Amino acid sequence: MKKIDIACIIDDDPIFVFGTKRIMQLANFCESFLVFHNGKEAYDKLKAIIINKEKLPDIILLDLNMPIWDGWQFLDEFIKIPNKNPITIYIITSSVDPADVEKAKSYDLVSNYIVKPITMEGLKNMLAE
Amino acid sequence: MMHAQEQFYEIIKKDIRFIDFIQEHALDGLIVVNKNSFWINPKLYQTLGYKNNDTCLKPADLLIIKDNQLSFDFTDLKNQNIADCNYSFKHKNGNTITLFTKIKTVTNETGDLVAFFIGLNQENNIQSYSSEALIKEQQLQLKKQKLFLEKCNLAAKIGYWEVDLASQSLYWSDMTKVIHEAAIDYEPKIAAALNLYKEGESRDLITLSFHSITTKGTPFDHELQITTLQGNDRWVQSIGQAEFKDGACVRIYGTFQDITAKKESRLALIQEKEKLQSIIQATNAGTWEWNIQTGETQHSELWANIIGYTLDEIAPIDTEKWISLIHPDDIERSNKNMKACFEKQTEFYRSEYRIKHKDGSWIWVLDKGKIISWTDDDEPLMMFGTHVDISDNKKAALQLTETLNKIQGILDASTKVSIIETDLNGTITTFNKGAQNLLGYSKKEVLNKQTPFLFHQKDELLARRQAIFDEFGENVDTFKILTYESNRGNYDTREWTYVKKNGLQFPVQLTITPVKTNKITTGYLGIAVDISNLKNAEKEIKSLLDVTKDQNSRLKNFAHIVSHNLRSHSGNIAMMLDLLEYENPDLKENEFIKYLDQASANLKETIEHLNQVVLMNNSINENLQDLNLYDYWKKALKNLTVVTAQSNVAISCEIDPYITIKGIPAYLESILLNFITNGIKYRSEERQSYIKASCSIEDRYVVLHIEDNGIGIDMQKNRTKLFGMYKTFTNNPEARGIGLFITKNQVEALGGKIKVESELNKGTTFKIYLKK
Repeated sequence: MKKIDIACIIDDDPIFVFGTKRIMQLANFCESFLVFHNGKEAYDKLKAIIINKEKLPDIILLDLNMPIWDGWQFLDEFIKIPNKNPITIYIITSSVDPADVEKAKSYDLVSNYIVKPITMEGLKNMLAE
Repeated sequence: MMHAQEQFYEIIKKDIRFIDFIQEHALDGLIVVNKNSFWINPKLYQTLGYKNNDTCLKPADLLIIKDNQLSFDFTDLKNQNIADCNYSFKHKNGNTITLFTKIKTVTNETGDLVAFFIGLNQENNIQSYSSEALIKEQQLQLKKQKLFLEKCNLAAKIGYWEVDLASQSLYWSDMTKVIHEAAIDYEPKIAAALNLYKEGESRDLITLSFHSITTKGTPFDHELQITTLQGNDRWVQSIGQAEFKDGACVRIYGTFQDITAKKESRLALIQEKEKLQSIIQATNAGTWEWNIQTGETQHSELWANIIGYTLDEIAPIDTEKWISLIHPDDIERSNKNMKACFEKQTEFYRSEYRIKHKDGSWIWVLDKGKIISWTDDDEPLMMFGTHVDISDNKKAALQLTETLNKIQGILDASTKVSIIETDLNGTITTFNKGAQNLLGYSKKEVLNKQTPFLFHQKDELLARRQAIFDEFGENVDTFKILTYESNRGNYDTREWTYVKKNGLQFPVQLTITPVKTNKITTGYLGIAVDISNLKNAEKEIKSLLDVTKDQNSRLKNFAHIVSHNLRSHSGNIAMMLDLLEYENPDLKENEFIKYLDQASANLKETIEHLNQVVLMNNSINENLQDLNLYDYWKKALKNLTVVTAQSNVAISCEIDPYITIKGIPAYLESILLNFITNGIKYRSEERQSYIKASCSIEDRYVVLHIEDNGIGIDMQKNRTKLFGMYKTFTNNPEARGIGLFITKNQVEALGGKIKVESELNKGTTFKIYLKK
């Protein structure tokens, strides 16, 4: 199992963030976390990281339904930033709307669409890929 | 075949030389024999002591038997070469009279033997006279014969003429003069006589014939036109013969007969026939000809065809047969019309009657006829007529009457529809009961007095006028505001407000159409329907629609809440519990936590169901794809491998592997999974269970039959509950009461339907109708 350096969680739900972080820690999923509470904040920070050539997260868990910028807006803007480092993005959402699932498939960057809640099993599967 | 007497006149008329024969050899009697008759002249009867009217005698009766080598039979005369000699004849008083018998043959133009002239002279007539006396006697006889001939000719209206070429003189008999309308003492001249022939064809022909008869002796026989001395036009038959002496023509003679009446009636007949023929050809009519005196008829092929026969099949058609074909109720009328025509009360016979068709049905025909010739006694002789099949006309006429009645009925019966007809200027000419009911005006008040402006709202008319101006740039006034659109050839239907007599207003839908006669507009028809109720209903529908829209958008919000927010919370609870138990493994034994786990799981499942239900209606508009039913069935079975293996249910599939339905993959999967799991879930433990799938085509549907032999459903009790949400009617712990509800909604979202047949403890068959 490959150890991930930085995992980024973009979600406005503190319970989810808390829970996910705990599960990741328990599973020894990654070294450190980056947590943003909406798409806009995540975009601004990540853009700064890219520009400053600092270390980017290896994986992003992206919620769709968020205030200010939602997950889609974030994706639309984020893919415009030129970046050579590979980032794996997972959409983690409560939405089971088939329209959302279809839309997620249209982004090359998005590796998978995971319906909440996240479980230990789900996390292990994610690492296995 | 002509009678011998007739033939005799014909012959001597044509060939004057026979007169010489008679003068020479038939002074005491003449017998003429032709192929089928004979004629004995009055002189012979006289010679033998009979009276002129004792005409029952045959020539053979007159002969003394011992001399019977002479026969007066045409064939015998022809075969035996009988010499001219004396034969003994019986006198009435018993004496025997010897007559010198001279036989002369008569041939026609083609040289065929047509008759024999048997001349009879008393022997002493010839031999006992001295030559001088003979000449005298002969001259006397000649005079007598000439007189006789003149008399004959007079009776037959035949004139005689003679040209003496040496003296260039022309002789006309009295009859010839009569025909020329010349005075009895008129002295004709050759040149003048030729000029009496009508200029052109007649004169050219006679001049030519006159030339060839004098030069070559060619006889002539022509029907020619002359103009008489009184200036009248006549048709004559002129026959000429020549007499030659020493190779030169010395005399021309011939007969002259007035044939005007005959010729003109013949021409008229031909003309009449031609006229009729052309008319008939144009009308596609059958024809008939009828000789009323003899009863002979002649019918055309088409006449027979009209009643379903060929002419050969039905001929001959005599009067009896014709009457037998006519409808018994129509015979009298037809006969009456015919009689009127016979009595010259009407020029034409005309009758409409039914005539029996070969197939037994009655055909209406129009029978028209005209008497085209009459006998000398003024009796109808020939009649000519036409037959036209008028069944269609009759039918159409009947239908028209029916339709007219119906229309009148509609006009009267339409108490809720206003039907108003106007002339070109808008003056009302028809105002039906509906109009009176709706508008409150009586017929009397408006008919021929008012225009529809009486009950139109003024503002609307002005607005319409403006609209016409805006659209077509035309300024129309008065009644044209209403008829403008219909005059452009369009159906003009629009909504107007009518004002009743009492001032109340109501909305109508008015259609205006031009009334046309022979493609020319003669007025307008306005049909208006009171649409008050319609308008109210429209309002109601509109408000209902608003409510529905509102509810729909709330439903969408609800869907969103369910699909996202509720799920988030339930997900968080599940995640927290998961973590809690992970970090504190001993809590797993805690009863509270156990129930919390169960409650969390139930909540998740409920939300799942709710979500499916809500999402369903939102995705109807998605495009349906062609899905292979067989493939999806196999796929569903694969997903259920474990369950089916455990349950020991025999699942068979007879679905046509090429059949496709219109659907959404997720729905079809869900539908099939649901029915298969249902079949397994509700299997009977009492028997070897099976599930059979097959399909058929019904109209625009593919029908999937899923049959099982499970516990079945009491349809009497549960029909209404079967597809309800959260309805279960078994004690099966796995029953959730959501499956069929969702399935039904999914099938309906795909434009299909579900039918169920079931019997308790026997099994269930679901028929799932999916669009082709």
